[in-house]
Amino acid sequence: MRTRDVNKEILIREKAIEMIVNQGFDGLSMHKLAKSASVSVATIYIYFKDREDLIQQLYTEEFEKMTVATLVNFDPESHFDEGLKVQWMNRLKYCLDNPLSMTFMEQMKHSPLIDRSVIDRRFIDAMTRFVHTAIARNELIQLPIEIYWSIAFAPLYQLVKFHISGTSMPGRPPFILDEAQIDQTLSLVLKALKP
Amino acid sequence: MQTQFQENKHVLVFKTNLHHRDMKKIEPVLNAETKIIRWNVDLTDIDNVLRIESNVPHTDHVIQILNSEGFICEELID
Repeated sequence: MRTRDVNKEILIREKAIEMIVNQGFDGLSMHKLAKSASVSVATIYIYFKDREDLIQQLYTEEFEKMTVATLVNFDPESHFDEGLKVQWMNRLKYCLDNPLSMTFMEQMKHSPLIDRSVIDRRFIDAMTRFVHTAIARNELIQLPIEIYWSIAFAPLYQLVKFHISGTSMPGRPPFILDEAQIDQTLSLVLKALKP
Repeated sequence: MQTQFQENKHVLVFKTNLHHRDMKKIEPVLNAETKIIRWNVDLTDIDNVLRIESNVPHTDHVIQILNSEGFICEELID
């Protein structure tokens, strides 16, 4: 008889994320995963019911990590401009600290493999309250959520992608994101979202 | 492989040749086993792993059941 080994479980999770990021969902097989984590296939099935369960658990855990990171010092009642700045800096830090997690979450965002009804509500609840409060106080225009998100956050994530990959437009030197560029972009975003 | 991480709970892991079409056949057989707490087959991976959570480590018994239904069933060893 053996007991549950937390370190082994963590290693399996890390390797699984690495595999999905580098090779896509179809690149993840329990055999390959066992090999890269130096455990047996049987060991993986001790911790995870099946491949779907593994992916779901990875998503749930990474979502939780992201939630904690993005809500640091964030007050949903704060002025929209201030709150968005905190969100940008928190999300930026999370992405730079966890580049694999960020790519993984991007892959998961639109995946049918994930049941989103079981995820941590804290993040969504805080962001919803933040937006509704800002609209009520006339600090933010009312938009369909997809448009709001595309203006409020997509520019940040695109800059982060340029930064992490070290690439830019063809023929341009590698892009390095700094605080002045963040502030410049954020002020344009805020301008676009002002009533 | 059998592992105990809760009192009286064993996880048994087998490599099989079970497919979607076989589920109807083995469902009643495995459900009838009172010592099995829950079971599932990972049909998305190449080993078609049968995973069983059970009160007892009755590995040989499970293999026998699957074999008598005409399926390959081998314990995956740690």
